[in-house]
Amino acid sequence: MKIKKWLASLGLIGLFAVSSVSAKTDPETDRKSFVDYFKNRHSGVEMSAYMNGAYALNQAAYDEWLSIEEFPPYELALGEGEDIWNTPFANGKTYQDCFDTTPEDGLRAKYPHWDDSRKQVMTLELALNECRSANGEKPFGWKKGKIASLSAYVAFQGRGHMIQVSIPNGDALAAYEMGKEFYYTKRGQLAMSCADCHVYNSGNKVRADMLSPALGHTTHFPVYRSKWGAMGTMHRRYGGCNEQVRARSFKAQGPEYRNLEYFMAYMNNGMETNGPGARK
Amino acid sequence: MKRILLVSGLCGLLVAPGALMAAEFGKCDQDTYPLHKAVAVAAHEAADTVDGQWWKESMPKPLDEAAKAEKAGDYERACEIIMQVEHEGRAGYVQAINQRGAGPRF
Repeated sequence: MKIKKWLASLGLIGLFAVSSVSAKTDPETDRKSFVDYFKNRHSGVEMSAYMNGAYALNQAAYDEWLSIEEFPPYELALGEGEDIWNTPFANGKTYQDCFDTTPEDGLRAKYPHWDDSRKQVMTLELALNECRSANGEKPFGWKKGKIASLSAYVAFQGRGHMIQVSIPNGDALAAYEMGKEFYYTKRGQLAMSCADCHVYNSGNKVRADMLSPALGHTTHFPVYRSKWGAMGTMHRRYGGCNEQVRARSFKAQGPEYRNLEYFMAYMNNGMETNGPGARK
Repeated sequence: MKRILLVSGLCGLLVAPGALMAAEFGKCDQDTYPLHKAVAVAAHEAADTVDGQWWKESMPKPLDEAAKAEKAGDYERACEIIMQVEHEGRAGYVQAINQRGAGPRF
């Protein structure tokens, strides 16, 4: 009788263990199912086209966007960014002294990444501003203006490099999981998640605008948005998205948005960067 | 004596949730406004305990507006605002609980 009870208990524990393990998926499985979802949803769209956002889904919009790209609205920002990058700090050092990769060699594609010594996700804009602080300069704001111009210059110089985000250990995985949960969590008075628009309804229209697919979202930031009439960073856009669903936006470069960027960039692994972009 | 205490205790247990229910779903007017206001504040504080989204942004301004309306004797307006605040606190709480561990639907 005792043996039967033992066996039953063991069986239950085993079942629990199996269900716990199967409930946790690994990032690569997440990414593959994410990519497969878009392949099925927009079956005629080439994988490489997703870096063009919503323009990948509509030929007329794509043609219009190409004509905008002939004289891109982010051009002024590129010039400003180049000047900032090449102007030495007061101590004589430059931005390049803070990085072991040049913009031309794909500095943009190195971010976001997990910094294990600090146990946090590092983004390009955070690294650029920390470089300023480390050299005795006042950091720029996080969302627009000079930080966006500088980021745009770095992105432009490194166009065509592949996104290769890695998740090296358990702490990084926890950050990824937080970003993933953020992405799929409904929030705000409209009770909508990032995925509600950019996964399940990608390609559908919200009034006159087409919802862009999440696949490829991180390839082209920072962007010049016609709505802003200026450049903006990814975290500026995150804040805008949150507010559009009547939710509380989080601080740019805070842990919430950095983890979100980490998750989204991982989903885009293997895609080319083509920032900065021009968007409506 | 014991029986009286027991009966009054039981009655209290029955009446207290009833009063709260009345505040939650009942009519809001000059007499019940303070109760509705207390419930609205409690709903938002509850949402805060589970990291609900709406409490911080949506509470201070409407509470000020409700206080102004109350001061002006416009209880219809004050009640309208306070009921909305209460609704948002509840919804914020429910949303935060429901969305824990959210993941993809594919």
